[in-house]
Amino acid sequence: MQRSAWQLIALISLTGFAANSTAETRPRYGGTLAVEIHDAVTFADPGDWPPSLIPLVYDGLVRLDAQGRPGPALAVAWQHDPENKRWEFRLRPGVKFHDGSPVNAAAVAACLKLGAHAAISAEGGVVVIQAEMPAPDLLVTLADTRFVILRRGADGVTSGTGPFRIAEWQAGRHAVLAANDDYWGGRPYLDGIELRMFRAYRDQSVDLELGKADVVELSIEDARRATQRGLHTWTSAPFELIALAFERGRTPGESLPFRQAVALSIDRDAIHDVLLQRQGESSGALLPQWITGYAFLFPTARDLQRARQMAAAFPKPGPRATLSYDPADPLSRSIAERIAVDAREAQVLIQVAPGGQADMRIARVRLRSPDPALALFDLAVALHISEPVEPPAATPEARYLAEKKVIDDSRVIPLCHLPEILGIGSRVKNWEPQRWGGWRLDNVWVEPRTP
Amino acid sequence: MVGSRLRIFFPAILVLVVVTACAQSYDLQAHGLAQKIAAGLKPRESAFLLFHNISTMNPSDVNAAHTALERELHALGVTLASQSQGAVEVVVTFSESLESSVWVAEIRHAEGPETVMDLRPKQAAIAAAPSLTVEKKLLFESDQQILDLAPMARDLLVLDSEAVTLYENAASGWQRKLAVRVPAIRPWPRDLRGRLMVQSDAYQAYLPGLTCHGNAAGGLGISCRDESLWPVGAGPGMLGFAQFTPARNFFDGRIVAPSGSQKSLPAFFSAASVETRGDKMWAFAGTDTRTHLYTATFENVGGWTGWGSDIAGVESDCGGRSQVLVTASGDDAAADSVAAYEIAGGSPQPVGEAVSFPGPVTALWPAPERGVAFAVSHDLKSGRYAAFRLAINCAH
Repeated sequence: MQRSAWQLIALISLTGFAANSTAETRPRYGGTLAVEIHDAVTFADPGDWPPSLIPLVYDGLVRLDAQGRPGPALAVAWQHDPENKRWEFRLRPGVKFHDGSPVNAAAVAACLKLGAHAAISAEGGVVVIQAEMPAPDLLVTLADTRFVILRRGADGVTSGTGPFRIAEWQAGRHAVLAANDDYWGGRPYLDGIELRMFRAYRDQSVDLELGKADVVELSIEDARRATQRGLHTWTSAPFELIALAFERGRTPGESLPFRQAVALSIDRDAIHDVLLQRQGESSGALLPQWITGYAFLFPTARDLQRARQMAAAFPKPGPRATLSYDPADPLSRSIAERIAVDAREAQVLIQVAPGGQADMRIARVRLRSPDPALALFDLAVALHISEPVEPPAATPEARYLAEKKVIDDSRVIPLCHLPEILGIGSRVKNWEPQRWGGWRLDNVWVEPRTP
Repeated sequence: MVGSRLRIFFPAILVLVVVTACAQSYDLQAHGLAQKIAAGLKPRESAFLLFHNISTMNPSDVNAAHTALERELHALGVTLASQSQGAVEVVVTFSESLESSVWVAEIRHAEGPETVMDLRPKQAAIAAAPSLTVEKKLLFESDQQILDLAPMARDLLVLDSEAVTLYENAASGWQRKLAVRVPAIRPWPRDLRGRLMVQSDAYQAYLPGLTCHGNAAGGLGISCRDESLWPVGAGPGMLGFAQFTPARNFFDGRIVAPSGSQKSLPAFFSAASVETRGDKMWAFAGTDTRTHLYTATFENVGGWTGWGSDIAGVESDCGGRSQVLVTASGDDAAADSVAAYEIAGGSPQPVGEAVSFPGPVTALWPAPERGVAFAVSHDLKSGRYAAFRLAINCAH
């Protein structure tokens, strides 16, 4: 307690400044947060959920702090052997799943799956992970939402330990999450969350403006409008990669000069400035700068002259290819069309088509983790590339070289990294999700709706 | 296809540089990068350095980093020269990621560039590493204002505004065993404070303008004298004694070190011993709302605002092994919290999450037990006072 100065400050605030101040009130318990999302989420498994929603209902043994470093969650302490192969986790006492069953070492061991080369057991109330290979980054791995601790009932319904429990679920349409009164981190301020799924971006934006929704996902265009209208928006770190990916086994894409000609012809700045309206960052790297710190080493500048020279080396009538995009995604379409225009200037003919088989596609991959290793792994899986993730890559230089190898190969041409943009209603307080998108709403509270 | 080992176990994919809890400086990172640059140069090859900053480092830090790198290269025998002298261009970029300071050097040999890097935890991030938690445990509650308390074997000695009371631990909770009234000869000042020290069965109670002593064995007597020299710190973190202003709630700044030497500092509410990089220092929560940092020889080396007026230094086995527990800055009408900090580079860095209290913390004193302090909170709803044991626990 600050003893004297604050009394003076309090006095001042009660007199001269009172009229102009916007008073902060203490957090208010109660209320329901209305959230709208674009995805249609099935109930079956949190593995199918958008990663941002998972922390609402499920906890892991550890979780990442704002700087991406692991800290305690369901596990309060851990230790490992010098080789980082045997890890022991001591669980937070007294925690229960939403169905009332206790979270003990046996339950965690039964739930956690890390692959065939890691044995998980319960030994005297401690969770033991015995890995065949050294696992120095195990904590970061366990913090990933893929490794939340849950209990699966006989009916297949999962039960978590998070700040909210599933009270009602209409698959793909609507869900109600109720506050977990026994949450180990303290009951959330909110009584519940109403989750409306499969909502078009435009509809979400309208609902936000009409006060029918408190938190919505915004498209880039809607985000611009929302900002112009003075609505509150929140932007994550850019954690979604948009890239041009060549399909393997198709003739044009098997030619490295062709791939390089396409890569050099792309005007990323135009895509970033016009199509993305300067949201996120144009990038020549797979992983964003905020994750690695070295993304700037990968050039983004267009080299049309060199692209033309490379294209000119192809036999007449010149190189041509097809490019597909997700027909439900207007941004992908715009980017695909822009790439076709850019390539045409380099004498490369690209035919754009919605969906279907094509030589190239516009790929959008959301990174789930701020950890470079896990993020690179996610990209490797999603983009069907193997080069960047072959171990060992213990040093940043090795990781950089692995990423460079993929970029030089040009089968995947990074274009930009996009953030998630949310519209936040004026009555929502303490909105502080993780920079990479994980929603932790136990500290969020809402002002009562005005009649 | 993704390598088979990768499908099996994520952590084997790549090994990230492990974040350590030790303090870093530009010297370390400069040394690390300089070694890699030197290794990348051919024998007798000189270097021409170009610098870029795309991090959040401010210009003065950039200059310091720049200077440190040149100095380290020089120490490694690398000659810095101009391009016209045939030196190899080395482009150094000060960059950063979410958690790391990333320094990148591109050594632009004629036959092709070589890229080397050095990653270090960000300065702020190091200390923010949640390597510890503050565990709060309720010890004792009372309608009286608890000023301080001290365990005595299995008993608990409590100093409140009226008495020194010995409680014994019974199945039904703490039971009053012995009590003696404090012979106050004048009204206590507002915002009463007190301190209790025990050694075996003996105790000393410090109150504004009054120092008392007694013994729990044989009836818990009390004997007082008009003196207001209070102990500051506890255990190995003992500063000595400081003059407590009798009719106020602060120390007037006069300090008597254990050696007997005297020093006069600005008035303060509380003090905490803190060790940073092996150097013993003292933080004083000044009555001017600033916290002042002093060396062990009482040289002022800086300060900051934002801390509450009660601080306590504790040694632990976590993080940098020396933390300061700090109340929040707020008024008597607000709930309070106590957060742990470490001092790095002359500034406080929070470690772990703060623990909250239902009302203002009216006392925070270090305990003789390693890694422990006692806090007393005034519950604004119930009006009662509650004493807590605050222990630094390593998170892993």
